[in-house]
Amino acid sequence: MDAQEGPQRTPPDRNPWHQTLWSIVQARPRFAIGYIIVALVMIGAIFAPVLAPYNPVSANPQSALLSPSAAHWFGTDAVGMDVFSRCLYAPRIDLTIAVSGTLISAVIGSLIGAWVGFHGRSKGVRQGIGFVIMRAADVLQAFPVFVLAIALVASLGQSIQTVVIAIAFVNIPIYLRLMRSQVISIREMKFVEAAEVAGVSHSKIILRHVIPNAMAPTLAQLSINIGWSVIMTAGLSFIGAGVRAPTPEWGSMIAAGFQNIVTGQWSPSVFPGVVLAITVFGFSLVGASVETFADPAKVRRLVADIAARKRRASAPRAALGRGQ
Amino acid sequence: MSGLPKFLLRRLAYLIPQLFGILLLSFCLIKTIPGNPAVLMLGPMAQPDSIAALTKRLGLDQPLPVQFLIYLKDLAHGDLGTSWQTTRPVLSDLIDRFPATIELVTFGLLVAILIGVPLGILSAMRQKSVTARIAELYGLVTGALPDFWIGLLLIFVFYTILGWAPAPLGRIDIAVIAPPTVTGFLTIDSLLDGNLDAFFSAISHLVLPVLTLGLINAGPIMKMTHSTMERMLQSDFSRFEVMSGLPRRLVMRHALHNALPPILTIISVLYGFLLGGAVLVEIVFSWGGAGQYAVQGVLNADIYPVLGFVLFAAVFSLFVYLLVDIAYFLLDPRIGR
Amino acid sequence: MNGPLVNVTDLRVEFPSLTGPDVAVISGLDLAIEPGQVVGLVGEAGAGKTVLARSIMQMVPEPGRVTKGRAELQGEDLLTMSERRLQRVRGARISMITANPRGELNPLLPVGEQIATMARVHLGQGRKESRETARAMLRKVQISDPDRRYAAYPHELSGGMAQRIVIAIALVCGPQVVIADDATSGLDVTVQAQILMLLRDLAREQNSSMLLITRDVGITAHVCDRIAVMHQGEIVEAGDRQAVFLRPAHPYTIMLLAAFSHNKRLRALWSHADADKAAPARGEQACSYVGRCPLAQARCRAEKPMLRMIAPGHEARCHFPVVR
Repeated sequence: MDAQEGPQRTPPDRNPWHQTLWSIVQARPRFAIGYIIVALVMIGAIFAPVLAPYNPVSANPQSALLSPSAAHWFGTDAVGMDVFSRCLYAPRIDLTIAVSGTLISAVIGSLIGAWVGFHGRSKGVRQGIGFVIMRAADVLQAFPVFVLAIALVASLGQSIQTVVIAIAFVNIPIYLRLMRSQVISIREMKFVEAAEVAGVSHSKIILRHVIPNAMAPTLAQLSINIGWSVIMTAGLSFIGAGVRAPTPEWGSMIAAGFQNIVTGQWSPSVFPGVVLAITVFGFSLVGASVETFADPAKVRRLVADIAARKRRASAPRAALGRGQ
Repeated sequence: MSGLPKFLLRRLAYLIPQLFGILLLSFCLIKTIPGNPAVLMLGPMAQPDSIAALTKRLGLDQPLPVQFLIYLKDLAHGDLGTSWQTTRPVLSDLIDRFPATIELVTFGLLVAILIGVPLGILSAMRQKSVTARIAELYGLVTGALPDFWIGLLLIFVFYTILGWAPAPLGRIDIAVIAPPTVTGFLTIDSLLDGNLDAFFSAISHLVLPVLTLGLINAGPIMKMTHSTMERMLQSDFSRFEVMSGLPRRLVMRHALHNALPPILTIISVLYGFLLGGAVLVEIVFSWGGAGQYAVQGVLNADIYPVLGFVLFAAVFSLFVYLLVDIAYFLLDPRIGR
Repeated sequence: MNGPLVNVTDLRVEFPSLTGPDVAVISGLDLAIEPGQVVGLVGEAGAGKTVLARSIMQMVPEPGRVTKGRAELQGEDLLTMSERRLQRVRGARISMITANPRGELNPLLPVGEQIATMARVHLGQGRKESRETARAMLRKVQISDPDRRYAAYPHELSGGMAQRIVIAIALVCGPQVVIADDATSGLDVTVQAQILMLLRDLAREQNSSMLLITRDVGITAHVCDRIAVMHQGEIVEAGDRQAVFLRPAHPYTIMLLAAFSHNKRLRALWSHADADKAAPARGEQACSYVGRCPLAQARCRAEKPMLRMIAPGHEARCHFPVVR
């Protein structure tokens, strides 16, 4: 019998949702921090034209390589563009590329993965196709990810769309495997069998019954992957295979400041890196929160932590502990 | 151990179709490039008649499957094409440069393992300790930091400000005479040569890039070690050992033994990933390795170096995976017997 | 030795919940096991049987917590014992067997070594002596070809064989109490009976007491001296095997027996039962069975019954026990 045989009685009353939310925030403040960071970056990007003190692409050789000051919070770069304004605009490019690349790979990868997982046990052509697809994923993953992306950008021509395609392409195997392994276990469950017996078509079963029940790990992966794709986009731009200056983009900004850092002007390179790191950090925290709620073991630990906090908060009840 | 040869044979049989897939994919990559490869190969200054001659020689006027066969035949002869930038065969260029990349990546990975594995184990053993909190934060932060940027910061602090590290320009001081090439690893070659100047110069040039790779990649290794170790400690067999009153130390040791195969996997995947992933660090430190060579190729429409590198790296990854499979076989009695 | 070997008194185990107040999975539970006695604990899934077993071992599944009561082994409270001392008690004086034998064994260690480890840790035996002990134990649990099986890995064994190994590990140190939590449910029916008999014979041979936890009433009828019936975290009836089987007093026990029995009299007694109108009891003021009880009266909703004696050695937690 499962160790988790347990609370079957419905609790007499439920806490209001905001109280539950607040207790989660108290026990895991970093989740809240993650959502706040992501929200701030999004808002900054959307309202950049209003918020940015300078035009992000207008060079001003008179004020090149200024240190951070009240006029230029993050200083200026080698051609005199305001680093703060450019940092504010950058997520418009970086996040667009990262989010669309990740979403495309998640949709394509999950659909293929679900199909392969669903037909893994059936005989004949479908199983054969599934086998070929999985071996193709093996091959794809044997390639060095970053260089494969560079090669794709090189062979498809350099543009924002190409970077999106490259990111989507190298991420597909991740979602393919994730969804496939989920679907294989869900495939065996009774409700799928029931749907099959009821004569629902396979594609409908996959879309309506299997995928919704297999989504959780994919969703957790999504946010983490967006952060990772931001780094990848910046990396591609850093070597000149992605977005090109003067378009505001973190990676190309870091690259532009590279020459100056050796001579001591750190701000044009360091600030975009800090903003990028904080953004990615925010997305990983959001991913971690999704991961927690998708994993029963992690939810149990969260519940235990919240309960421990409550006990500490109400000292009289704590004194009533066991062993009196 | 009688099963090992049979096991290896099966793995090798598996390797061949994978290799074929890699070749097919790199072939497709060439074919998606717009324009005539002969033009790309000869460079922008080529004469029309030499282009026509090369087109014929390369079989570019043949149908695609035939071209693929020609491609395979060339590969079998060790012909990976020619780089118009260096005007040398890509194969010899890569043989010169690949060891530099592998040396960097190997040391970087070693540092990452030395940081990541102990930290992961410690944090899994003591759930709510300070170590566990630090480890968790470390994992989150390193996951958010681009390695090329950390490289820049290290250069700024240790070269520009403190002046402790040598200038980020290659693998060895220009003033120091490099040892004759044996393995291609400067550290090993200089020791073989008995040239301590070269050895220390090579080491001092390695420190910052290796630290960059090590610090960043310790993150995923730590996370994987932690989560695997945690899963093992929460598994039924660990619970049963605790329930049977085995000492904590023994329970931990058994959990670690069971956690090793997955940890090994992530390390091997990282090894392959780093070959390409270290490209950025190579550029920051002007490393002159194969990755930088490939990137130069990309930026100058010199496609054969890129393909050569991709191929080298993919084959190298496959080789590492094979080694891991063997380690798996030795660690886990459930596999392959 | 005076008093029972194992004595659980007034035990309460609570699980915190994310959205409401804590849920008591076990409350006010008393259970005693005499030396050499085999006690059967029966009840449906979710009654809290496993939580009880794990509480006695001081290994309550997360995020549960013992909030009240004692669990004594020869007068010494296990619940307040130091981790160090517990380690010496577990496996040596009290051991536990559960439902998933193959998962319980370390997959990377030969099974014989796992038995020998117990002898080394708890009996202080040397390498050679412990191997001998382990081989002897393999013979005792009737494993054929013990010398060869000693070196086998868990994945090479059948479920029944693995369970024999688990039993060997649990019994090699001659514990005073063995808790068998649903120990046979994953096995073939024929193997189930063999394992059960083996367990009973070995326990009897070593003069170990046994707590046999199961959903299958039939099992307890064969091997137990005493039966305790558990429902929603409480013992609702306890007594000698004869008494409980022949003169069940609590309506829940009657229902449980009727479900497993072809006895016409029992079934007739329960002809008016309607087990599925389950409306779980709310609060602690009512009898926990009142929602499902066909004999419920007003008092059952107003006042919680205590476990009280209805005949010598026979107790029931019911205001209106069925007495014949």
